[in-house]
Amino acid sequence: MNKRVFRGVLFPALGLLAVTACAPTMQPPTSEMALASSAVERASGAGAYEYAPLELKLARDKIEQSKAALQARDYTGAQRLLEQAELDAKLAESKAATAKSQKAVDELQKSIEVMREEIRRSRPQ
Amino acid sequence: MSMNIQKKFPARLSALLLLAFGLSLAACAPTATTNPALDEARAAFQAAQANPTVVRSAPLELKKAEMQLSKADELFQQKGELAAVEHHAYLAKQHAAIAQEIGNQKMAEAAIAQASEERNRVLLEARAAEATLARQQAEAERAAAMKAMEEAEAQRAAAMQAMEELEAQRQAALLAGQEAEAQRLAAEQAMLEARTAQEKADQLARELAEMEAVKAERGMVVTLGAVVFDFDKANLKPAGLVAVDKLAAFMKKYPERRVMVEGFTDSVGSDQYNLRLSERRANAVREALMARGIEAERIEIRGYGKAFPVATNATAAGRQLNRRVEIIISDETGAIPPRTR
Repeated sequence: MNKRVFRGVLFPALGLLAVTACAPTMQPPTSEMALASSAVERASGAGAYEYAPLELKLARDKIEQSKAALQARDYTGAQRLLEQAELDAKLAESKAATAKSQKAVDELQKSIEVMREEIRRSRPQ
Repeated sequence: MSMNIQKKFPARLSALLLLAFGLSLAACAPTATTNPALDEARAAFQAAQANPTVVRSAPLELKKAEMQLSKADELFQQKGELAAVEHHAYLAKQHAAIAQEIGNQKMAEAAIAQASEERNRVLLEARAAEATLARQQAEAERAAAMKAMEEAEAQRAAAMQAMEELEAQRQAALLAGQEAEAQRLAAEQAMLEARTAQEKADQLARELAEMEAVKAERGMVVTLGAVVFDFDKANLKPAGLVAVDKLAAFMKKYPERRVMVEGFTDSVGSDQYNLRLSERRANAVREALMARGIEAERIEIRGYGKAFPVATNATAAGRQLNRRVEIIISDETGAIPPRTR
């Protein structure tokens, strides 16, 4: 092999590796983007639009902001926004689930009350 | 005055300078002893950890919150980038919030389970109430049916009673009709019998008249006079036999009648002789009747001799009247009263 060619390639590569190792957030946060997006999707599917609109909007806004940060090559800022967006979405999903359960409880109690009323009325004095 | 001011000035200035220095020092150190975001995250984490339901149901989220809080704390202590501290504090706060939400969810699920159980219980209660109501209705219907049945039975009994009364009245009317008919028949029969009796009596009277029977004290008496017996004789002359024929026919026709044949003489001769003669004459009549089929037990005889004369024995005509046989015919019972004189 040509020693000059080897040197010409190896040194710049080594230098790049060293630089990236020192700055761990230099790479674009692809997996974080995927996690945040799927979390938002799950929250939407769980009815967060209705039950936790604030948290859902926060997550969506942060994903949008992260895209702007990526454009500006601010990978660290983008990653932080995406990590927060994922948790915001998860909280929205969780709140939606709780709200639905609570609604179920209310409906059950309402039906129980209706039945009780019926029993009271049907009971011969 | 100015001296006083000049004296005091350096002290005040130094104090001011000292204060400015301190202020500049604080400004130069960007990491204060506290951070609001970190405090908020810590408070959220501690609140979540204080909730037993959250501890039980969301240990993973709690752990993540704790890790992020530690990370934020560490960065803060090392005076790291403020944005990084606040980022991790935020993540810690959100994990704590999610943990709280999972706890809420668990409680809601428990409430659902409890409500479902309660619903089932109420449903059972409703069914029981329904069953009770149905049972009461059935009971009421049964009672009503029973009452209707009893009423129907009472009506049937009343109808039966009325029918029986009608039948009894009908029977009574029938009986009355029958009795009236029987009375009518009896009356007719009585009338018929009366007529027959009358006819019989008439017939008897005619027959007795034909025998020349005379009504006397003891009943009807037929007298066979002197013409039928000769002097001192006991056999019947033809005229006497005609009379006996008639008597026999009469007795055959009236079998319930009996006769008493009594013989009499005139006073000529001894008493003993006359008694015998009168008996023989009575007997002659009896035998003549028996010869004509009259039973012996229906004929009694007596000889009275010269006793009971019907005329004087001083003349022949009187003595002829005394020589006689008297036949007393009994009543329909067969009784003949005894001679009294």
